[in-house]
Amino acid sequence: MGDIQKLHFKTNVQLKSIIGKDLINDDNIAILELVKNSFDADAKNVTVTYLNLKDNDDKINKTFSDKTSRLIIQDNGLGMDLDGIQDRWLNIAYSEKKANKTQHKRRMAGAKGVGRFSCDRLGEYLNLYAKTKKDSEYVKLKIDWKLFEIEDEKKEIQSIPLQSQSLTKTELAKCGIEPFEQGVLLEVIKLRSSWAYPIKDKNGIITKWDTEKFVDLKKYLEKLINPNQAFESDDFGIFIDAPEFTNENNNREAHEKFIGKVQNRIFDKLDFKSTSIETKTIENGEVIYTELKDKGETVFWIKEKNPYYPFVKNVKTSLYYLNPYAKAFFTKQTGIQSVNYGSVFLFINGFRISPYGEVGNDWLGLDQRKAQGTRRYLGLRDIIGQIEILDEQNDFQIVSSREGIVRNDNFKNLTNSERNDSYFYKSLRRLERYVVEGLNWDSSIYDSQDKEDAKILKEIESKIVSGDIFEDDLEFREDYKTKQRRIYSAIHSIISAKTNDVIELYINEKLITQKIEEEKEKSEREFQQLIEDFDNKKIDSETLSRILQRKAEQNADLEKQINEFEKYNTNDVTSKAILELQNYKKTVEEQTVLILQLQFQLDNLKGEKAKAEKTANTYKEKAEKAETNFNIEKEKNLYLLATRRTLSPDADGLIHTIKINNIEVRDGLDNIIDDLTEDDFEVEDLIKKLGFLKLNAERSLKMAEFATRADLKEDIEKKNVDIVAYIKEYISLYGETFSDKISFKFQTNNSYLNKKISVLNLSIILDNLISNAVKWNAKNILMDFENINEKQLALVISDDGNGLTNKFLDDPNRIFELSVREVPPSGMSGSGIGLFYTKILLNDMNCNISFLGNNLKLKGASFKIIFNTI
Amino acid sequence: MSVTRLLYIDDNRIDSQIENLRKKLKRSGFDLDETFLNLNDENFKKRNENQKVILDLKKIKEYIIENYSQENFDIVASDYDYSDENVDGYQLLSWIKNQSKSQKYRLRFAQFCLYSAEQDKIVEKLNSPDQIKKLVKLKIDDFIDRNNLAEDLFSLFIKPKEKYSYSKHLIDYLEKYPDLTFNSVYPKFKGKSLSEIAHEIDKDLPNGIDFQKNLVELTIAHLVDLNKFEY
Repeated sequence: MGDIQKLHFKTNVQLKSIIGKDLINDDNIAILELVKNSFDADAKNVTVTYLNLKDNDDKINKTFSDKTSRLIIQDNGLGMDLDGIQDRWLNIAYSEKKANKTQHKRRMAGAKGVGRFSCDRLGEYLNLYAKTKKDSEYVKLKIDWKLFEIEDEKKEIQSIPLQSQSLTKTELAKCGIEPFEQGVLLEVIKLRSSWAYPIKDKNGIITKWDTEKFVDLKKYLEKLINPNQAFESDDFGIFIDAPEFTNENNNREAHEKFIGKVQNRIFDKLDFKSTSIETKTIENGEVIYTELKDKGETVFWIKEKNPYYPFVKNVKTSLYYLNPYAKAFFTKQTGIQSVNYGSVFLFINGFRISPYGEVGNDWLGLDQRKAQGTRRYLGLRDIIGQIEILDEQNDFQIVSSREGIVRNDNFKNLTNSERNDSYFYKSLRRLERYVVEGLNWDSSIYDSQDKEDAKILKEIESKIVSGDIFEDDLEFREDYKTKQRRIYSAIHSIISAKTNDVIELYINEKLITQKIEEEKEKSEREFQQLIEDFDNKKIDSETLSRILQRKAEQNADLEKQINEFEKYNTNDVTSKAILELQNYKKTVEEQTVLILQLQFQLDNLKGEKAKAEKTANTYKEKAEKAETNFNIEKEKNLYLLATRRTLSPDADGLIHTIKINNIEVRDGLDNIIDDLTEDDFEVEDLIKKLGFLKLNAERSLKMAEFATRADLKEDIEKKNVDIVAYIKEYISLYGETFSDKISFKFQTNNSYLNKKISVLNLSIILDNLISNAVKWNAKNILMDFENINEKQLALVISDDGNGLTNKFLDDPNRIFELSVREVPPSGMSGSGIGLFYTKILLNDMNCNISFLGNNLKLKGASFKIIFNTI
Repeated sequence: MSVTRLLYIDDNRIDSQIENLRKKLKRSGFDLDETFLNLNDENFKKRNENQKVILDLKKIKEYIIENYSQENFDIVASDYDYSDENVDGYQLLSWIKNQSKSQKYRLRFAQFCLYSAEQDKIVEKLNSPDQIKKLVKLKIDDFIDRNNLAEDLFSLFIKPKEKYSYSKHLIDYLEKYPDLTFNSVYPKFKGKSLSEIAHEIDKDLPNGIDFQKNLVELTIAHLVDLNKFEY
């Protein structure tokens, strides 16, 4: 045995072509690869600019000059310094993405480390300019790809010298490049493909330019941008520019313009015109959420266990079913027919994976499957949509732009069509069942085998495309209500979920309630008629039996519906609708009992008493049992009912008063707004109305205060109280809140008066009188009660404040008028409801207030209130 | 402007809501003439055996008969909850409706409705076949959520009347000129004032009914004659 020899691979110079222009066989893919690099370098923008296409020296110059054709791809990403270029850019097959899946907070798009050789595909020379934010100078790298194209088995790729140099800003400008803050600028020179062709007349004069290739590029890139998720958080923009072709661009239709930002708007408006289903994983992938929408309205949504976990854990699919009308709208919006757009695309981490979803690519086996059952399945032409994967653990590995991704278990769980047992098919089946299986409600009235109809449909479609017809004008085979009824009857088979897997289910409550309402209305009419007929003796036992029979059928049908729903945990809104069903069922049962009683009365006359009684009893028992069941059902669903049920009787009473109070406030404000809008008001009237609103606001505040202290089980508006005791109690609890300097004294003289009174209003009156006294500098308040007789009580409230000013003393009752107001010395004003409203409130209670005079009991003002009772 | 008349029964002031209703009606060309029966008034109360103040149904009924029974209200609306343990709006309204019907009060031509801030509470009380039957028979015109009181009363006012009452129409017309004397066409009424005739019709007295029949026959005869002239 000889010595161990050390050998190693050599990389021949021709590797460049293999991974460069030979591997990347399509100009559009080449550009995409470079754009991906920019994305991975955390760029916000990347611009693709074409220069010197119309007039250049490509054919006459052996190398290149300023006039040679150029493609410039410039981004504002992180850029590179010399080391970066040496260690990363020039390091073939090195990719940071292999090590880091995310960088700069982005999930990385490329993965193989050869994208940069796309430059070779695009042009013969490359100048690379790069700058990082922290460097002041630019790095320039020059590559002439021809130097690698030599047949020499000894020549290794690394032996070809590449020139690099560092440039100042001024030097950069001399190269014809505008200085930039950071990023990479690729200047591809002497383009290998013609991006625009001159069209010449027979004299060889150029009449116009064919710019289809630009449009192609734009559309290609558009499709690659995930319309939903890509870049949404970081706003990555791709721009195409070709300054020589501005005119050609401007003459094109909107959807064919190629200069500007590349945006995918395909699904923008589709939502409202088609039926769609969206399925996404939530709660770390263990749960699937599916929502089916029809013309923008949710039909149902369901949360269920994810049976494909952990193979499929961060995936969202969106599928749109296109009926003939929707297809036409699609064409109008995008300029292409949906069949020529593609079907279901796959996006991984924001970028599209070729060739999935491209025209003719049946990666999900849709058409294959449709061939087995044309009517039951949707084919490639019927749906468009996408599958988006956020792949953090490299579960889905990309092979190449021709091969797609590795067919491992993850892929199988995502797409397997056998027994429809995969994430994608689970979603698709629900959409199919909704639109295909016997439910052809979404078809146009002209959508049939009939030739004449087919012609009309074609005409409508072309009108949609030309914009002569709008959505509202379209006619469908079934009207909205019929459609709703049919959906309702088929909803459970559409959802088709395993009971144990369902976590929560929502079914559009309108579907349920609409049906009940219709039936309810009918049944109530019928019932009223029945009672009338019975009273007029216009009815016989047979008719009653027939009605009973129908009620029994109705009941059985309702029972069935309720049972179907009870299999699942339903969402609150849906549960409420189901409760309506149960309620209605109960009504039907009650009606049954009533009818039975009527029948019993009739039968009684015919001597068939015993028999009927027996039946009536059985039914009654049944109804009673149903009633009990219903009550249990009600208990079970308590949390769904009005929140009232969880309230204490206290809060219940409070809410009653708040409601009435606030309805007044709302309507009062409405009135004032009307007055002001119509400019139809008098200031005095307005002040009066606002005063009442303020009063109501005070009442609300008072209620909030009472919430913690008063017994609210009874109405706080109407309460039997002893006036004297109540006022004493109230002041001892709340007196201090007016001012800490005020003190109260009572002389009750053994007086007593029981009265039914609004304690709310009484408290506000007291507040008002006390705060008035405080404002006028009172320190002491004396409350003197005395029974005038057993039905009358006088209360004199005196204070030691400034007293009533002289100007009122002649006619003191003026202080109870609306617009009268005095500015108190303490500078406080504006609180309280004013004496005007105090008087009104008291009068409403059958009580009276008057001003007695100054300096009677204490040195300030004295007011007298007389309470009357019955 | 035509005048619409409302009688509302409540134990709270609802001025803003009534004002709101007034504005709505005004925009549709109606003047609102409202009457408020305020149950908070102490005249309608009494003390029970425990000295608690409660509503006195007898007094309320007397007051209504005395003041409103012969009035032409378009709508009689009542709150449901009077905050009283014995009397509620359903009870009172049923009484008014039935009483007006059996006594042939003018009030019977009104539409009757209940309103409440908490409808669902009431629904609970109407929870037996017996109650439902009563309710069906009573034929109340509307049951309104207090929250939409102005709106719903307004709709009730302006919606085309389902029932046209020939008698009522006639009575209203006659009462516009109560003191004029009736002359020809129907000998039994010769010399009576129009208000007296209105009374006969209102009370469904034999002559009142007979008079109406005659009037129809005469009118049609008149119409046919007129048509003859045209040919």
